[in-house]
Amino acid sequence: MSHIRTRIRQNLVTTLTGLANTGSNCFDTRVFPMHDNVLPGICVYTVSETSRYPSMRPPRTLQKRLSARIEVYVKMTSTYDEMVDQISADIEEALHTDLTRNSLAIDTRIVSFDTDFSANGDQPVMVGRLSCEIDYLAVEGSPEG
Amino acid sequence: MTVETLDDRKVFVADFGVACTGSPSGGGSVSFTAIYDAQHSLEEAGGFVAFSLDQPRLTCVTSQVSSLAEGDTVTVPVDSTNTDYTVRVVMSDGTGITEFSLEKQ
Repeated sequence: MSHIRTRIRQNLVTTLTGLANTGSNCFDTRVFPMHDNVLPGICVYTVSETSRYPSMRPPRTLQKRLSARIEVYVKMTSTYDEMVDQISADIEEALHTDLTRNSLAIDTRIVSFDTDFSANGDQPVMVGRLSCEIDYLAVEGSPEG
Repeated sequence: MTVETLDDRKVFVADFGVACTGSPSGGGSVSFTAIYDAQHSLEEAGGFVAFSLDQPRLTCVTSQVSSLAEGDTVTVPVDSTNTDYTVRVVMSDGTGITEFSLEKQ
């Protein structure tokens, strides 16, 4: 068994693999640069987590809020912005099919989207960043659930 | 005053350049010789990881490419294959040499 956070992130990757425009180009915590063979592509990261303790007696229940970032990488001429929007739509639809992340979580919400661009290479590139919050419950001392 | 004269630099373009063809927006075509270069770059665009990119450039003699402007198409032999690019930035250095920043089509 692995940490619930790991399983949620893996569920996100599984859910977002095979989408119409990105296919198998979906990566778990990729740290290496994106190149032509893996574009357009999606990278999934879990970036932070907070815990609340709604009960008092150990072992306490933990209300966890996991912040995940889903990044869309696109390189193409002229319609890069439309492609990022289309892939974002694909992601939103895919995530909505199971907000519980295969019963690991209570809820999944996309809370923000923002973009950046560059034209310093052989074609324009654009990154779309979707920030997600995933709420789940755990018991202290049992992070693997 | 530049260290090298334009004639000195024309020698470099003639010796190390490749035969290119440009298509000005006004019609017709222009043949010129230019040094092609595509330096590799890791470009940050706001994500956690960078893009691995080439930065294609043409170094030309200004008088040979004065009819070309941003948006025009140029055909460049890259690894022995004719490749079409769009001129995206025209950078004249004021001494008779112009550099084009290119977008691959």
